[in-house]
Amino acid sequence: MSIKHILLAEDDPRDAEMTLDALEEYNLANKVFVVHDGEQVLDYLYCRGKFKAREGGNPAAVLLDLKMPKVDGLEVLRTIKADKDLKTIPVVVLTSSRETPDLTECYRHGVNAYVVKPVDFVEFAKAIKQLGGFWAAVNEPPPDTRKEAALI
Amino acid sequence: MLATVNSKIVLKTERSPLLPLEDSGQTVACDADELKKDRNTSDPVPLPKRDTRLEDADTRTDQANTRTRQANTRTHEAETQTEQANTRTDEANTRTKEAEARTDAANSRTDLANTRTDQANTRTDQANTRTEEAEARSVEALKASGLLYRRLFETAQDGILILDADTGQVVDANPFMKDLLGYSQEEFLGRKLWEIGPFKGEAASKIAFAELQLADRLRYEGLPLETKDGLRVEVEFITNAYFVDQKRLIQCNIRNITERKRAEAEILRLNETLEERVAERTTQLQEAYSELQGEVAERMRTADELKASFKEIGNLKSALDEHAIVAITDSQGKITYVNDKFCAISKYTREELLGQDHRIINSGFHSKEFIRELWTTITHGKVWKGEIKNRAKDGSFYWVDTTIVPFLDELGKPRQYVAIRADITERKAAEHIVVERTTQLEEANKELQAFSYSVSHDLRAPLRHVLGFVEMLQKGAGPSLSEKNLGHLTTISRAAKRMGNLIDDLLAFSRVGRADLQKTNVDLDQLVRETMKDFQTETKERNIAWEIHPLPHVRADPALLQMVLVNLLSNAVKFTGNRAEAKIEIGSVPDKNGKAAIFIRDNGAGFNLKYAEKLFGVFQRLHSHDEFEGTGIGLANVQRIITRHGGRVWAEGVVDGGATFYFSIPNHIEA
Repeated sequence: MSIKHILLAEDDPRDAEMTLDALEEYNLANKVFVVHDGEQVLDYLYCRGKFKAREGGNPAAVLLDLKMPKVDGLEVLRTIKADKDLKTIPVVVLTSSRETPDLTECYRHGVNAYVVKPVDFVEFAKAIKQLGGFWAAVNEPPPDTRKEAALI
Repeated sequence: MLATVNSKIVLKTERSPLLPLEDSGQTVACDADELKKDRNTSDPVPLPKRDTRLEDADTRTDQANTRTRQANTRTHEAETQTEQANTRTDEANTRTKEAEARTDAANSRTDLANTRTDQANTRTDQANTRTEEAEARSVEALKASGLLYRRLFETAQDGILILDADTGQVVDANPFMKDLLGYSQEEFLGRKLWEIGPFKGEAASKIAFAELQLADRLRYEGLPLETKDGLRVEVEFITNAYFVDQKRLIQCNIRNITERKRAEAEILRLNETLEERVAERTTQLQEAYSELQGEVAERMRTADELKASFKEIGNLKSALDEHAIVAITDSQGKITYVNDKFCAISKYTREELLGQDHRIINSGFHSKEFIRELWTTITHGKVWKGEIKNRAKDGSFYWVDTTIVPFLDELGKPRQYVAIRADITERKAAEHIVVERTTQLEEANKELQAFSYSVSHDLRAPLRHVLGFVEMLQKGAGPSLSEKNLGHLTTISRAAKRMGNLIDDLLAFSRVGRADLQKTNVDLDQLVRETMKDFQTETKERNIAWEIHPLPHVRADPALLQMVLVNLLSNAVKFTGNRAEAKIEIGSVPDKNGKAAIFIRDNGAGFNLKYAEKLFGVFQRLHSHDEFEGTGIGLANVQRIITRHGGRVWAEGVVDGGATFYFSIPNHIEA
């Protein structure tokens, strides 16, 4: 089973740490690249700014927080899904909110999954582990991503 | 006495011619005349033969002797008579003397009488003169009358026949008789009536004539005569009988009445026709009359209806005037009528309004487009409805709900406009407040949403972190920590979890308040059964007697209604937790308004009615956490959902004696 990398967009370092901690158990933590705002997500995907020289192609999936500084999650989602080269990347919204408008807007813009972070850590860890395992290992990514994976 | 004297005188003079017959003795004649006649004729006659003459003379002698003897007899008689006469003469002389005496007296009287006679004669002469004059005149008149009569007779346009009443002969016939019957005057004259063609049929005519003879006047009709040409002539036959010169005449006037008869027959026929026509016309008239009566009745009915209609219109108008503000303008917008209400609301008097342009009450509030649209509508003959702000005389404004109805002329052009208005100033004010409130509410709602959003994102994250790091701490440092310290970490975790639940419930409560209601027809029976399934796992180990009565259909948002049931059922399950035999009953009863109220009854912990009002408050709890877990949001949610459906929720309970929760929602179910 080939392992692909995941891009995690999370502005809160505590959440990021807890996420990585959860993924640690599956040995997936080293396959996760963490950015802290929406702008960085886009820079990463478009290989610009400080990611100009980054290696590899598109991530196997993007775990996207909604409430982030600079460019928020919904804006990032819209940009990815509007771009012909990026729109095939699976995007999973990972957020504290289960407010209806958020859900509606995300699905309207083509989100691939929407996961509410449980307050309970045990539940939270379980959810993250499932997500990581699914998108990084179980799911077959689009061809572009496979090419990149071969390069690694 | 005078006559006696005269006859004596006559007698003396008669005696003398007889005397010479005795004296001559040879010529015998019966009387002087015969004698004279014989003498005159004997001279020229030639003498017959001697014998003959002798015989004749003997005969004549015999005759003369006979006559002599007769004369002697008569003489003797005469002498006797003479003696008698002498006697009588003596007597007469005596009487003569007496008479002479009387004659003298008489002569005296005669003289007197003569005098008077002379006088009378004079008068008689005068009278005779006058009579003669009169007779002369009378003769002339008679002559004239005769002429006139004759002219009439000749020219009369009636046939006139004059008959001898005794014989029946026609004495005269006028010329018209020929015109009438074709027979000439000559054919009539001298002939008897029944011998003449037209009157033939002797017997009949004779009988008729006999009648004519008796009567002075007769009139016949219906005895047609036949003309010489054989034509039938209807005549009127009038007879008059009179005397002329001692002779009874019958005048017959015969009038041709053929034409009259024909005319009469025609009249009769016409009369019959007329009668028929009259009868016909009468029938027609009767029919027309009954039709007319029907029509009259119909008209009366119509009139009654009209009257009723007018009354109704009058009633409607007064009702309208009671209710509405009414004004009528002409096609130019000039006010021609306003009712009292119009005057009252506009604060103008009727005199100030009539004849004015309707713009007198314009407020200037509405846009030109609004006014143009109004005029375009009504000038095209369409009804305009809308709300208009007007300005009263004192400058205050009022709102009217307005309907303007154009009344069209024969050409379809508006003749006048009737505007009916209702004062909606208060409603407008209320609406204004509603709009303001709505705006405020929307603002508040937005804020609440932002708050919820914020809570959802920002309040939960720290809790998650607390829990996450406590967990990581336990995982990493667990073995080195004392039991007591591990217990503290557990407490921290529990508190954070509880706060997380509170936040979740609060956010759910907030969502309930904001969510749109998606009402459908909900089968409560089915919904209750579905909801109960959710509790199966939870109640598997419990001894609960469920009693479910038939439930109605209601119109509600099924998801929200299910949330109500979940809350109420979970409460019932929860609060009967310490009952060995729990009993939960679900059913419906009529509420005080007759609507169905759904109830959920349990035999659990119950509550003090004193706190019933607090039950439905947010975060209100009547039990400690140690007794029963909960955030105090559930019943608040129930109340919010039922209230949003326009319904009501209430509860009854006894401490340790169970509780009953009721809710009812207006039940407008479409069939």
